[in-house]
This record gives sequence, structure tokens and C-alpha cells, in this order.
Amino acid sequence: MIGWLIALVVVAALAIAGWKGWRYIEREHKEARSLPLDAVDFSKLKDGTYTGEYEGGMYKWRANSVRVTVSGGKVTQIEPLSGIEDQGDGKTQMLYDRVIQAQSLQVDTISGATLTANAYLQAVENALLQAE
Amino acid sequence: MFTDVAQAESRIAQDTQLAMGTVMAYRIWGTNAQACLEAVFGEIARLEGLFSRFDPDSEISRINRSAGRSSEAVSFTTMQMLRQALDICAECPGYFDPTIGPLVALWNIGKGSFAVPGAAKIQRALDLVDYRDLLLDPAQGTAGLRRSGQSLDLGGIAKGFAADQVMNIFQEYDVRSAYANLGGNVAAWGGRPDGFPWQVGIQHPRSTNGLIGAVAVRNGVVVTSGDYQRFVTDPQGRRFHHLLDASSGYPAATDLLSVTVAADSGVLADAYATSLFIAGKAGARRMLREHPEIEAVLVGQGGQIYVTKGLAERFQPAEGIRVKIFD
Repeated sequence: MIGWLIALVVVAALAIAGWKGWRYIEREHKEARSLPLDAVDFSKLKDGTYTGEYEGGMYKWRANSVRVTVSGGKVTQIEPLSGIEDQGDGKTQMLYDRVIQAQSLQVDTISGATLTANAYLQAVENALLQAE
Repeated sequence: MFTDVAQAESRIAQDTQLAMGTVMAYRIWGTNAQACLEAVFGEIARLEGLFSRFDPDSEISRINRSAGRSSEAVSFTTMQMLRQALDICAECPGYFDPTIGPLVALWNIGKGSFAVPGAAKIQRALDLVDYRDLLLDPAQGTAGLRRSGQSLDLGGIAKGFAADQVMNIFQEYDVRSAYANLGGNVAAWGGRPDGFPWQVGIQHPRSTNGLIGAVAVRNGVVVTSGDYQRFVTDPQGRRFHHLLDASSGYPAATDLLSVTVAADSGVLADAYATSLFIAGKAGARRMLREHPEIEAVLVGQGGQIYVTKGLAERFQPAEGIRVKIFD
């Protein structure tokens, strides 16, 4: 009977500890998930080498810094400086490569575009909406 | 209070329409967005009614019909545009001429069947092209053409003028963030709702879905003229584009594929985009030196991109596009 009681207390203690621990991790995860990434205006980049740091959330687990090189108005290189462990699968580098590739032109509208099928279809669609 | 302002500013009105022979698209943010959009639609319809060569009742059609006989009473708006057209003729002699109607009608590029007109016919039409024969009497409010057979074609300026009128409406309705794309002529008003300047992409002259880059604009107009917009190819494979040289009578023999102009005024942007294109690289260089207020992106025959110094900071080339400063 005493043995059962001890076992129960140990299980309860573990459960409480686990729950508390999980709460800690959960807060950290939440923060990481909701990290606001402000829109960078890629058209305004000035040439140079810049170091960027992220303090890494509540428990500093994700602290890291990188060096970004801008030349010709474009991001040409991103190098990890600290806090970044490439887990052997090159995924971090792939992520950086995507940033470099994806700095495509985010345009609002286009000057000199010939009349595209899309534009025509849009106008037709708008006309049909009114016709409904 | 701030939330109210934020909500009002997030109101957006957008639409597209077919007008002036092209597609027009508008996006307007702000409290008065919807009312402003309706005013813009009304203004475009009004301008089309005044300027269309295809509407027999338009003021331009009336002037053309009375050529060589009498002047016609015109509205303040038409007078304003014709005066601006003449001002530009004086600055771009030989490259821009609103009396180019007879040549445009003769070549008829992009409108039905095509055959290269005979040299004699071209010469006859060319003899009729002379902006000095456009007679304006602002005091009387009349406009006329001196010789019979002469006609106005405002293709090189009407959409630019419309862009200016649309920007006036944006201002009138206290809109802080809007753009209008009038068949490729972009009027960018204020900045984007997020405060950054508008990013106006520039069509690649040889790749339908490609851009050569983008130019950042606040309160300005961006117009592109190129040989790719309207052209025909004859059975021998020769390409004839729609931008006619008012001094030769033929589609401009230029060493440029396209020219984009960014300026405060739509009339200037429109007229200069066409004129610089027709002038070719050397001529364009000369004109741009004389008019430092005009900023341009030029695409040379080999695909080389040139950007004027003043625009270099605001121009972002597309992936793989190399740019030279044009000076």
C-alpha cells in the first residue's frame, strides 16, 4: 500500500514537472511561431555588408547572427556567423539561398504591358459581375 | 480615433474597364475611395468622348472633318491638351506631332489587314503632317487644321493627359494612396498604403511575361513605348511597329526596343517615351541632356538596359538584368 502511494506521488510529481516544463517550451514555441517578419523593401537596399542578430526569444535558444552582403542593390550572400548549426542536411543554407532567389520584384502594377489575356478576362469578369 | 482613421485608410476601391481602346485598372485606398473611383470612370468616359478618332461626334473628329475649311469650337479640356501637344512639338521637333493622323491611317498598324503602303502614298501623307498647321485660338476657344486632308491623332499623348486628369481627381478626393494603369501608362499617386513608394514594373520588350525591372515612384507617371506593343510582320518576316517617325513617314528605324519615362506629368512621360524611342540612342542622349527633368530607362537592340543617373537609385533591375548608366 505504501509502495503504491509512493509510486502515485512520483508519477504525479513527474506529471506536474512535465506539464510545467511543457508550458515553458510552449511559450517559446509560440513566440517563435509569431515572430513578425517585417516586409523588407528590396528596392531600397544599399550596397554593403551588414550584420544582423536575433536575440533568440525568451530563453535565447534561437540566438544567432548572420552577415548579409548587398551588391548592385541585391542580396548576394548570407553567411552564418554564430548560433547556427547546420544539421548536416544543408537546410539552413537552402533557406538562405531561397531568400537570395526570392528577392524578386514585388511590383504593384506594370508599365508598358501589352494587353494580356488576364486583363481582358478581368474586365469581362467585372462586366459579368455587374450583369448578375 | 486612430482606429477610425486606420479603417478609413484601409477602404479600397478597385476596378478595370475597357476604354480608349485599351484596358484600364484602378486601385484606390481611403475614405473616399469609391466616390473617387466613380469620378475617375466619369472622367475617362468624358475624355474618350472628346478625343476619340473613332467617335464621329468627338471634338477631335469634328476638327478633322473641318480640316482646310474652318475651325471648331472646343472645350477647355481639348484646348488644354492641344496646347500641351504643341508645346511638346517645339521641344521634340520631328519626333512628336499630333497632326500625324494621315500617316497613322495609311499604315493602319495593328488594325486589320496590313500591306506596306507605296512610297508615293507615304510621301503624300507625310506632306500633310505639320504641327504648325494646327491653329489654336484660346481666346475664341477654337481649333482647326489649315489644310484639307490633315488630321489629328493624339495616340502619343491622350493616355498621358488622361493620367494627369486622373491624378487631379485623386488629389481632389483627398486620396493618399492610389494608382491607375491606363493601358500600360501608370499614374502612381502618393505611396503604397504601407508607406513605401509604388513599385512600377517595366515590361520586358521581348518576353511577354518578363520584366526588366521596377521603378519606385511617388506622385508620378511611368510610360513605356516600345516596338513590341503593336506591330505586324510582313510575309518577308520584316517587323513593322506602330510608332511612326513623323519625319520619315515610316515606322521609326530606331536602335532601341523600348523606352520608359518617369516624370511628374503624364503628358511629358507619354510624349517623351515615344519621342526618345523614335530618336534612337544617340538622339535620346541629346534630348535627355537638354531635359534633365526627364528620367528614363532605355532598352537597346542587344537587350542592354540603360538608366538615367537620376533614376538609377529608384530602379531595381530584374534577376539577371545588367544596367548601365545613360549619360
